[in-house]
Formats: sequence, C-alpha cells, structure tokens
Amino acid sequence: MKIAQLTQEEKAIYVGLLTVEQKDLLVGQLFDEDSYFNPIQDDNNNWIISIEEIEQNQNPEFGWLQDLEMILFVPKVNPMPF
Amino acid sequence: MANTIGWGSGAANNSIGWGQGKTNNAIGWGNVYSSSPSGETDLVGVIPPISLTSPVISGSGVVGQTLSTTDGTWSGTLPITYTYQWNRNGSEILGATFNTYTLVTADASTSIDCTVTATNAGGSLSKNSNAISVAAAGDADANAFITAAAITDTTQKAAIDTLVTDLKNYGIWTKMKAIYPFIGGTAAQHKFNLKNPLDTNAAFRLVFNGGWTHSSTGAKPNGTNAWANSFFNPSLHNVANSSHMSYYSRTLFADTITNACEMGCFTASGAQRNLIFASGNGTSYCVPNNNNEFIVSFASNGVGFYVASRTSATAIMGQRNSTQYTNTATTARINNIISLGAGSGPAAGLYSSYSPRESAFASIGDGLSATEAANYYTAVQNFQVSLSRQV
Repeated sequence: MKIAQLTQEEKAIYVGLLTVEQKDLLVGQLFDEDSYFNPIQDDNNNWIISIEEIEQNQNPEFGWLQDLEMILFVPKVNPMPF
Repeated sequence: MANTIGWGSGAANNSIGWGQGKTNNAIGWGNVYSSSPSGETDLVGVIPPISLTSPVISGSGVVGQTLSTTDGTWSGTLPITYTYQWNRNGSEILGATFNTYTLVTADASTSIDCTVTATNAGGSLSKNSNAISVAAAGDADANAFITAAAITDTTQKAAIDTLVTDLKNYGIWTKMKAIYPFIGGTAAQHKFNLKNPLDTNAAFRLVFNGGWTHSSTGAKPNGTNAWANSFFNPSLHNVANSSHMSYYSRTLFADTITNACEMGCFTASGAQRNLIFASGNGTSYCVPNNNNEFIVSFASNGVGFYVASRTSATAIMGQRNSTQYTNTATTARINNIISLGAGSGPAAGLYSSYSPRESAFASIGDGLSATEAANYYTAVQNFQVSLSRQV
C-alpha cells in the first residue's frame, strides 16, 4: 500500500518502510527549510519514516518517498525511566 | 419634526429653545401645552441631557493596556443612560462600545478618544473625551522577535508584546534563557527563541526533526519520531542549583502503557533522560537531573502548563496550572542538551519516549520561586487566551 491509498484515519497509524540504504540517504537531510528527516526503528527493527515527513517533504531529491511501502507502526515500548 | 435644542420652529416640539409652534416647548419662550389643540401628545417638562463636564479617559497609552472613560457630568431629566464609542484618530473603532477599551497594536502611534452619548426621554447628546496618545508599538524585545519570526497578524503581535511586558513586570524575563512561544503556525516561525531571536544554534533556536505538525495552536510532535533540539545545555548555561523548564501541553495523554516525554536530553551514553513527561501510570513527572531520580510528581497527565524549578540544592518544586507540587532531591545539574518532544535528542534510530502532546509554549532558564512560577502561569495563560488556544 502506498501513501496515496491511505485514509486519514490510516495515516495516524501507518509509517513508510525504508531500506537501510534509503535510511542512510535521509539522515541529516532537510525535508523543508527548517526540518530534518529522522528515520527510526520500530519494535521489529524496521527502519521507518513518518507520514508527516513524507507529506511535508519539499526536497525533490526525495520524491521517491511517495512510493514507499506503508506498514502499521509498531512502536518500541517505553518503560518508566526510574 | 422635533428639535431637542435649538431655535427651530415647526409643527412639532421644541424641548429647549425659542421656537414657536402649534405644539409644545418644554423650556423656552414659547407656549407650553400638555397636548396640542389638535390632540397631539408630548412630553411636558422633560429636559434633554446637557453636558456640564466632558468625559475623561484614564489609563496608559501603551498597547495592551486598558483605557477607561468617565461619563462626564450631565444635567437633564432622569433617567439618563450612556453609550460609548471609542475612536482612533477620529474614526470609530468597530465594536469598541464599552466604557473600557484595551489598546491593540493597531492603536500604536495614534490618538484615542471616546464619544459618550447621554440619552433620556427628551433626546440625546454626545460629548467627546480628552484624547490619549498611544506610544509607538511594542517592547523592543517583542519587536525583535516579531521581526525575526515574520509575525504579521495584529493579534499575534499584541500577544507577544503583552507576554514580554508581563514577564518583565513580574521580574521573570531576566530569568529566562530560552522561550518558545510557538506562534505563527510554521516551523520557520516556531523555531525562534523569544529571548534571543536569531537563527543560530548558539541562540538556542529549535531545529525540528521528524514528523511535526505546525499550526496556529502550536507545534505538535507525532509521537513516532519527532523531536526538536534546543542546543541548550543547563550545565553550561545555568548556574548550579538554579534551573527551570516549562511546557504548555494542549494534548491529553491517556496512554496506559507507554510514556511520552515532552522535554528530555542527551546523555553521554546516548540513553534517554525524560525531564518532563507523562507516564503510562497516569502521572506526569519532572526529572531535571541526569541520575534518573524523579523530583516532582504531578497528579495527572492533564493538559496545561507544567513548570519544574529548582532554586537551591533542596528547593525543588513543580506546578501544573499554578497548583504546587514539591519534592526534594540533591542531584547534579543536567549535563546534556535539552530536547523537546522526546526523551532524548537521539541519533537515528535510537529509542526514545516520543510524545504526541502538542505544545503551545515551552521555556528553559534559571530557577523560579513558587510565586514566580504562579505569576509565570498567569502570564502564559493570558498569552494563550489572547490567541484563543488556552486549555
């Protein structure tokens, strides 16, 4: 499933699946004048990028984000820090 | 026709005057009848309002301040009622029809007066007040931010100006090192530190990472991978035992499993440190140290303005919407750069407690006393109310 096929409700729970190579392309790069990409790993250690970053991207170099496969976001569980 | 005051004559009434007619003259040199011979009825002995002294405006001619006007003094038949119309450079200000008026940015460098109209059964009469000259717009610090962040909306400009003025009046301004008012609606505007609105890391501007949504109500991290780097390290920029952090959360956190960190920091080992965060157990905490010892436990994860402050080795407290929470600990200063929206400023992929809670304000600075923190809430809440985004 691509981002264009997601409903608004689905956009709240889906993320874009990245390869390691795609992740490396995004790290340290701006997606608009004041915002950087931040690829992270989900609970299955998949590299993922958020819907917001894909939709707000203004950098034509990363137009391929629109073609990413969308997967359900499975966050790492954050334990109490103390 | 009727003439309330004058020398007119005609077929109808003259309340005061020298006119003559076939009907009534309440005061004057004409004939007075309770009704005309033809059966017309009129008020007898009704004296319309007569101005004895003009209305007087009081208050400071500064944007954000409230002016008030007296009615002036009047004679005439009671009851007399009064209406008000405030004027800017002689032109009516739409909707300004109370006996008070709060100056807005549009009033800067103009002349403001008020027209008071007295009305009774005999008629109406208007009288203008004295005029107040309004100072040029804005506090210099507020203007610097407004210019840097390209704020053009009149309401937003006035809100920033009033916020800065309030913080200065409360004696809090000098204790602030970084203030993020999240005003304007875009990342390009939300990144600026009100205390030092330069587009540099050294000025503690925010750099956004991951999925943020910027809007007129604030900056909302997505809870997935969004965080912002403040470049502020308390260990370098605060003196020992004097620090505070604040976060105005507009999003109720109801997750019962995980934690959401509104403010966090790097550590040398790369581990997260949650500084202000909502936990899955329904309680919010503030942990302004790097030893994982919580110092302030708030009673809920509710929306509102969270402030955590330390003014001595043991004087540590927090407030949520000015409700006081106190705890003590003796720990070191934070020796890491503070981030917003996550438990740390992570390297790519590093685990952290990403928060989904929208922020309408955040700050970092010196320690605040309980009174100062309460005053801080008042100023920040006024700011939010003026922008219609308060919780």
